[in-house]
Amino acid sequence: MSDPPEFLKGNEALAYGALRAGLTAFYGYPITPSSEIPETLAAAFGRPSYPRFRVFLQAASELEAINLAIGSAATGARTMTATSGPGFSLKQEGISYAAAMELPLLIVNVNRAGPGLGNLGPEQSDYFQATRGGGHGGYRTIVLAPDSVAEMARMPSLAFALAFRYRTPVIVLADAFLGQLKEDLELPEVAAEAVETPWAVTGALGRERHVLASIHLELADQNRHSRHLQEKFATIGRLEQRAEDVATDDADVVIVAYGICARIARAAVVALRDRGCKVGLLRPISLAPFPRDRIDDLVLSGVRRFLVLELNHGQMVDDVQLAVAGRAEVRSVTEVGGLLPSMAALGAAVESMSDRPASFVDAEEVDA
Amino acid sequence: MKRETIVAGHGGQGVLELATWLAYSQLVRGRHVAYTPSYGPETRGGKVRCYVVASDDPIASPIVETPDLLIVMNTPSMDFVPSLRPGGTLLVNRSLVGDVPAHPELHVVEVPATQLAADLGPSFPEAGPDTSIAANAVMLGAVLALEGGRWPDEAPIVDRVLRHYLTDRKAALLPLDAAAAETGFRSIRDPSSERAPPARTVAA
Repeated sequence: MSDPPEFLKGNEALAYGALRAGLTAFYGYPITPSSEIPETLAAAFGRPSYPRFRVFLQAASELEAINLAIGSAATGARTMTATSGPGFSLKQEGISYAAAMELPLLIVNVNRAGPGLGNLGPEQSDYFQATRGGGHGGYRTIVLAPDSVAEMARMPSLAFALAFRYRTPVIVLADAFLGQLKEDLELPEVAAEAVETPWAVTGALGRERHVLASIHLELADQNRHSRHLQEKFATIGRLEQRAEDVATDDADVVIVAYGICARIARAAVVALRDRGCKVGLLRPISLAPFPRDRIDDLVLSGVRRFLVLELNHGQMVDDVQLAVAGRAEVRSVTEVGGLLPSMAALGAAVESMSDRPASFVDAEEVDA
Repeated sequence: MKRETIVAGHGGQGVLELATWLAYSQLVRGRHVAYTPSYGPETRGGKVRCYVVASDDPIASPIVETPDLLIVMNTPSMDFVPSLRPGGTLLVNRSLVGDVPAHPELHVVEVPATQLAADLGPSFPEAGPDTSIAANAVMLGAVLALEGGRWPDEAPIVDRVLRHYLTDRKAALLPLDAAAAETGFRSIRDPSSERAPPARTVAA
């Protein structure tokens, strides 16, 4: 028997993915269901296979962690912090500062159920907080959403590339299910392209000082800086939309779902197609910028029904509505509290929208 | 080939470990696997239920709603029986659950897993006073037998799975768990033994 592939939790895979993407510094404070990220990184610290991994620091709180990460990112180091729910809220002030200072920084949020302490089950209720810039002052970040353990491992590489290309915080928004799920995967190769960071604060001996600040007391200065940031976010919005299409070519109904919901939707597409129901899946990989151009393409190609599946009371559905702009029916199917929607419930919802009703699952088989 | 399994029991029975072993036993056969833990906040005594999906093709959803195989380690976990797919297999730890009534649409197999593991005690004094903790390894062997494997052909799979997970402090349990897995396997099918195997298939 040959060596089997890796078999890892999503959180572990993300940690190894970050190391293989050249992670230099990690600052964090553990919180379930994301604690395997710092656990895995702590265990890997000092291993010869990751010579670029120089700093692992368990901070006294999430506030300390994000502010340490800001200092680290200011030096041009590949810097990451990871958390869940309540910890993500605590980091928002820092993320606003990092956006204002134009710092490349990777923030991972393994979304648990909320609000408040909530519970440790999966939700996608931090969608608004992540995609609208959850802190003060009118900024955006890039938000990426994996839907498998293998993609958890690949995401840090993309996140760092975008963070340095645009000098902006990038959020990887996973959910508790993906964090705890174990799957087989091949880890990405160790590859971290060298990035020029001429803006970094590295000691000004023999050169002009670099100043990375978020304060602009002159109104005109703040006005100029704010416009500059918005232009950058607009550029990102044009160039960095990412999505995966599954069987959307001839679809009457397109499910829009990300994270664990996209996995449920993948299975539903297969089961419903077996019964003659023309259904497809659009999986946003970048939640911000939202792949509105793909939605637009689908509308222009004749799709008139979208079903948005998410683990909250309906957040991404707003982005779908904005992209659809009244040209198609948009329905929201949701589940909350750490529970997951059943295949039967999703199938029934699709079926009720579809041109060709399909008997999806016999009622007595359904454990709703 | 695609098989969906739910393993259910209480905390401390090694339910998560058994589910991980089952997943890894499929991984080393070259299949895609997905394993999802689910448990209450307690480390012992809480409700535990895991999903294992194994498939030759990439796995769409790791969530198991209608399993092909349900492994029930304690009585409260019988609550999951209605979720079994018609024609599916219910593998019961008879030591804790007792006899299960026949079901017209299910293949019911009872293995006294906790008792079989406890009975190994005298042979493994180094494993401590109570070897019933190896009930999960008994069930690992039972599942391999239900999958149609032969003994000792399946022994290398068991060895590979246990060696992957029983490292450091747990390595001391390797001989006990390997013996428990063989016992579980032979409890289902043991052509070499003249005695009736201890597993009971409940006829519909």
